Amino acid sequence: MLPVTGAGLVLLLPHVLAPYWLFIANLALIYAVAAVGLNIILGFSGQFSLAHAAFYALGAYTTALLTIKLGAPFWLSLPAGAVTATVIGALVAIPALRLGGLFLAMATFAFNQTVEWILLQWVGLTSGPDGLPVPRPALGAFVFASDVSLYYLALVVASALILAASRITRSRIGRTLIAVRDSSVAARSLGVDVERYRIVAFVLSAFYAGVAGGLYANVVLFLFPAMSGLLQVTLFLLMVIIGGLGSVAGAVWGAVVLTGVSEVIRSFKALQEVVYGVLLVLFIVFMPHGIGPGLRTAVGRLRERVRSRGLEPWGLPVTAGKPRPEDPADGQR
Amino acid sequence: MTFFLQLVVSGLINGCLYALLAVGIAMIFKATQIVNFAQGELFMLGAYVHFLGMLTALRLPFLPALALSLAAAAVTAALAERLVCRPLLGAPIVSVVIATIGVSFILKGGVRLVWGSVPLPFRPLFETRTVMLGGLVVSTQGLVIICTGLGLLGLLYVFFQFTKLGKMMRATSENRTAAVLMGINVKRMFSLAWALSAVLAAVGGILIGPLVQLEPEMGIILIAAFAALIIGGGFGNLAGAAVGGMLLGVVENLVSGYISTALQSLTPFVLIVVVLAIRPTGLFGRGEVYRSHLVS
Repeated sequence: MLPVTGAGLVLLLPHVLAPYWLFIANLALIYAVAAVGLNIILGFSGQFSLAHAAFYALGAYTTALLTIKLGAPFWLSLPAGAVTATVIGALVAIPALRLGGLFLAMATFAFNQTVEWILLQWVGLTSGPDGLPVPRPALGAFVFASDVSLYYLALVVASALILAASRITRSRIGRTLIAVRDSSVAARSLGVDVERYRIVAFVLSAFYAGVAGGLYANVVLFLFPAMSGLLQVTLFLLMVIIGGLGSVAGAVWGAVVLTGVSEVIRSFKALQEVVYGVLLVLFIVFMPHGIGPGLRTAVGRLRERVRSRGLEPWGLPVTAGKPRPEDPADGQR
Repeated sequence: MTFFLQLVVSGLINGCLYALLAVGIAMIFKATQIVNFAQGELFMLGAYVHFLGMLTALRLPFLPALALSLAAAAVTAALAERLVCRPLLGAPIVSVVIATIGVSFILKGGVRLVWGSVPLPFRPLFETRTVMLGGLVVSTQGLVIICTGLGLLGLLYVFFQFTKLGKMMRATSENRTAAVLMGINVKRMFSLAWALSAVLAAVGGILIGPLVQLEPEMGIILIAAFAALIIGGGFGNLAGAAVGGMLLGVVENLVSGYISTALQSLTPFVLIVVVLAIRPTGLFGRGEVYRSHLVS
């Protein structure tokens, strides 16, 4: 029952939302794809890659440039953009994954900033800091002229990819990645080709980022070099951290929540930086496994307190003092 | 030949700055196993506080502004260590590094909120003159940077080798448990490591003076610091970090002189890739790489 209503809601959404909120919904779909991709490398595979925004931007710019310079239709340029991001991802993965850990973080960080620098400097190709406007996608004679039609486009692509991610993570590949993440030594002793699976995870996440970027190009219709910037990386990181690493659903609604937040503080870069920074620190310190487990822990602790001490600490009548069998684990009882 | 030497000497100017930053990061890593992604922002903070102290209504003379800047950087770093890294003491390294990224954004955004994004021109510390040194032209600013940089690194060496506090810090880096057993206040050593490396970063920010503009994005120099550390194998080795920094500065300048100025900015990244591919431990790394948190 619930999935059906949910699906119905999602399908009817563009017709009930005001245009601004529809735009945000589109953005949320795009970010969901990117977040799910980051989750594959960071959450399931446990590799600290800071290059996600670079692949996202590469996918976006490739898609856009293919459409602008070569006149390719979106159903060609989008996959081509994704494939480009994937290939570059493979090229980066092969040397970088030999070390992993913090070296991977530093190397991918440097790669990410370098891509942003290239996008900024190669003005002839990318229009640099002015940004790159993208023509609307078209399917033959039908032009995606409204945000509503773009929503359905984004929805189709996003749902396909999110479902695929869900399948993959539940499959043998997913379990192997988790095994590699938790103990590469143990996995290796079981005959797992650790290097290959790490590359697979990296390449897969680059693919997702590339698709998200290509979608962005075709839905938001305007690109800028900061898409590859550290702020974008931080936004993606926040999405998977808040939603909970290692959970596809978590990544999706982390993306939804953060899209809302990012739109609210959109116009003030300084505010964005401070807010994202504070959120990042708070979540890493207090709820590193995401809001779900974080809340559950908090509620659990609250419940424990009430059970062991009644409601007195809060000045309320003792109604919870039901006699209980002696439990040695209860401490001073 | 003179052209080459000229490039080398000018490259040392940037190189000293990279060395200061790299040594700072290496110090924090050695003491706490954390790679501080906020080091670039400490550098930026040092520059902002110093130059704005001198230029704005405060009109501080050079030395008080310097003191204020170093104090601000040290306090910020100590706060970051206490509030962010201390609670994460047992957590996986990834979490702590993400936390330092968060700190870097808080600092960057904070500076941007207060002083805006528009780059402000520095006022040079003194008039720039050039000096002839054995047939090579060096600017006085460049000489100051090199001398201050080398001097500070030398002081640091003396501190670690010969002072009690320095030895306590080394002990903490080598074996935290043994240090605790010896009565060393390990948590204070952590704060000290952060504060000290923040001071190094702030000095770098102050020295970079007329070479660049004052803007919140200055922290981007972090990539160069990482490259310096990877090249020099500096994660377990402060001397390696310093040498890596100087080397990076020189190579960058050689690239700019012989190949293309435009490609100069790509040098750090290219070098990172090359070094990681060929000799991941860097020039002076002692093979610790494979046993440390740098590798999964």
